[in-house]
Amino acid sequence: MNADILDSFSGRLKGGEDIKLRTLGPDDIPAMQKLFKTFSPETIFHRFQEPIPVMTDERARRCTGCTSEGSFAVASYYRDRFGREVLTGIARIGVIGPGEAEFAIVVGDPWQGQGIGRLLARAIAGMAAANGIEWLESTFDMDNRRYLDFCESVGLKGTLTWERGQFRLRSKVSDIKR
Amino acid sequence: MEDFAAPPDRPWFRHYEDGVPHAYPSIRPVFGDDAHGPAESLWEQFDRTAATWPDRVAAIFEGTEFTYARLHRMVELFSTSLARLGVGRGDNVVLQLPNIPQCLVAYFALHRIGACVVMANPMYVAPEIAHMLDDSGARTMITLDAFWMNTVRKIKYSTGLRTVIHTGIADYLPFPKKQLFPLIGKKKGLWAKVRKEPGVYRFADMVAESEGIVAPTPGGADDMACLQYTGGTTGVSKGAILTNSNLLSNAHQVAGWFPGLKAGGEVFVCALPFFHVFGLTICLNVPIALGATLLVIPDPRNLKSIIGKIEKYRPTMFPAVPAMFEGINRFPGIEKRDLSSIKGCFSGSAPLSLEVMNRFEQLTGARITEGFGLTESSPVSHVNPLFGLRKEGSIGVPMPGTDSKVVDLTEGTTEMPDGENGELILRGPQVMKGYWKHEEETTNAIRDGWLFTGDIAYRDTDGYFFISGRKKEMIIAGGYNIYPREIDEVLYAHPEILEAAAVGIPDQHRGETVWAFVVPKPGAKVSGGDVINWCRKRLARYKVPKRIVFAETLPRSAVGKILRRELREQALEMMKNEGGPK
Repeated sequence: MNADILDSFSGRLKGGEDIKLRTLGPDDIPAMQKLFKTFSPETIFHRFQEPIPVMTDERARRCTGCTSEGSFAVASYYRDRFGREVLTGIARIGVIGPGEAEFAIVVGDPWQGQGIGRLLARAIAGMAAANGIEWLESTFDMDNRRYLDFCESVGLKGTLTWERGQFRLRSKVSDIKR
Repeated sequence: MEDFAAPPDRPWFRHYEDGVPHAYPSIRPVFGDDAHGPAESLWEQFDRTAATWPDRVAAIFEGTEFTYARLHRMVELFSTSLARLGVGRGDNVVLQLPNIPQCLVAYFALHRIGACVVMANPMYVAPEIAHMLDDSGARTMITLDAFWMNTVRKIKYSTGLRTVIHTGIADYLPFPKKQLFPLIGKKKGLWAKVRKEPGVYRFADMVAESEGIVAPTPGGADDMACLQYTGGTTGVSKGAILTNSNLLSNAHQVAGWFPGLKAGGEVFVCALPFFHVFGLTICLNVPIALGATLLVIPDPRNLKSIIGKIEKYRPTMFPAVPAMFEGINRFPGIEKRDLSSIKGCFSGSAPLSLEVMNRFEQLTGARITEGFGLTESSPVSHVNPLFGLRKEGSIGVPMPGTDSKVVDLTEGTTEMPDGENGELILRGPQVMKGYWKHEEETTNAIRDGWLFTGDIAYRDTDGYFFISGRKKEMIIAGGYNIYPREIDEVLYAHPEILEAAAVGIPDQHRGETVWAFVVPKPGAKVSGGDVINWCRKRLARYKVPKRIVFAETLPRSAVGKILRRELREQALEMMKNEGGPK
């Protein structure tokens, strides 16, 4: 996994804090659990497709760790006035076949609408390409209009299929704006 | 009322039978309104019917008959009592009753004084009722003695509820059923002795003869008549605002589909629950608009009783759901029973198989027409011709005065070519005003006057529509919409459950039924029965999973999203190994 690419991505929150990106690992379980507390029930349901009430250690490990070869997770963060790192969002890539991966992006509710999702999408596209992934897939609720608009805005405009309340979007990594 | 002229170039028009109007205004009035113009409110419709046929039997309940004049008088008396309690225009009032005459009286009494009826399913448990009371802001509720004592009383002080009017199933039963009912009803949770307390009133006292009837103050055509709660993807139900015009229009649209119906001459089997929007329109608003007799049946599952009543009272119209048609087809000795009085049936809530339809028609000589709709369209939007071309699996063609098309799934702006899937949208006088206090969802659901149904459908070249799927993860069991998220939330709240997911599984009788996959916490000793009991306390009966499947893990995608599709496949495999759908 080529994580150096992440250094080239940065953003800024409305409050002026600088957003940076880094990869996530097993040590990030507490940070993931803290981020989870900023999710509204809607955000949780859209990300996990289930109304999970707490982020257990096991689930946090799955969200942060590399559960299969070639899988990875990227976090966006800023440092508060005490210099502590605060996670604001996570993008995850899970390999599903040769040159194919599923991705998911979630941003904590306080930081939504500030370009973090777009930043994460560009970053994982770059990392995916660097790791030989050509196709990215994402599944989401068909009534999640906001997510569909987001995908279109970052260039995820491939094939859209549906099944029982869910869209599956399959896009070429090279189409994603970087 | 707005004029809804159906567009002239729709292919479905050629399947309309002789006498079926094409545009909405021409289907009004159903009878003799010419001198007065169309009724503006449900109250006005009832008032006119009662004035036209005062001596006709309006309702028959377990042998007790109510003429239109008697029912009208009870409505006047009850509405006067309600008004004296301060209930009036702008108030939302929860009505939680099974099909009994008091439900009819309360429904029209509330409309008479311009209050909005919030229909509640008697199967709702305390948290569901509490949500409905909180969300609707209702301070008054009309319910059964037993529901009050066993359920509503527990939440009265944690909600805004201030006034409760209670009644009993036995109140209008004839001798000796009235005297015997408490013995049976108590066991079934349908009878309870009510303690006197402030703010609690007896229905019977409120319809006692008294001087001075208040003048009617019904709502206008575009005022809220009913707040009909329907499940929500977010796990809590939301109220669809149905106006007087919406409900009256749909009643007239349905009545107009059967040009052979005789105003003042029909008898309807009213077994579908009035609290459900399908029963509300087909078994209440339609027969009242036609001046029909309502054969009021409180338990739609008691087929023995229904068959007996059909033989005794000779009804002409039988609105039902597929499970009822199927149940009657299979009823022991049905060939020897006389159901020949039925001439027309309306089926809805779930797809009806051609086999069941044909068998029922052979048994009775009646014709069945199958309709489709949703709470947000009061509910009927599409219907199959009564005698014309039948296409298996089709929801039929749009109702008179209704326009419908299929648009692309993402933007909802491009009409799809015939045969291609997209989202089903419709517009017509029956489309709701919006969702109560859910402006964003209203904006999403109604765009430029079109209701986006969330159903995925295609249209064929004849103008028949076919449903292919849903845009929302939703289970439809016995005509009730169930969102898995609501069940998941209840399961996740169980102290011994780590992970859970509810899925819809095909069911021969209910269309679909709910199964839940559950991962217990390490060391937990929870049983399927425990989980079901947990759900029973928190969910209406129809939402409670029929089966709990314990698993070590739940299938998830590469990024950790639950895969309900795989759970459904697992369930289907289990069913297959056990001998197919039950």
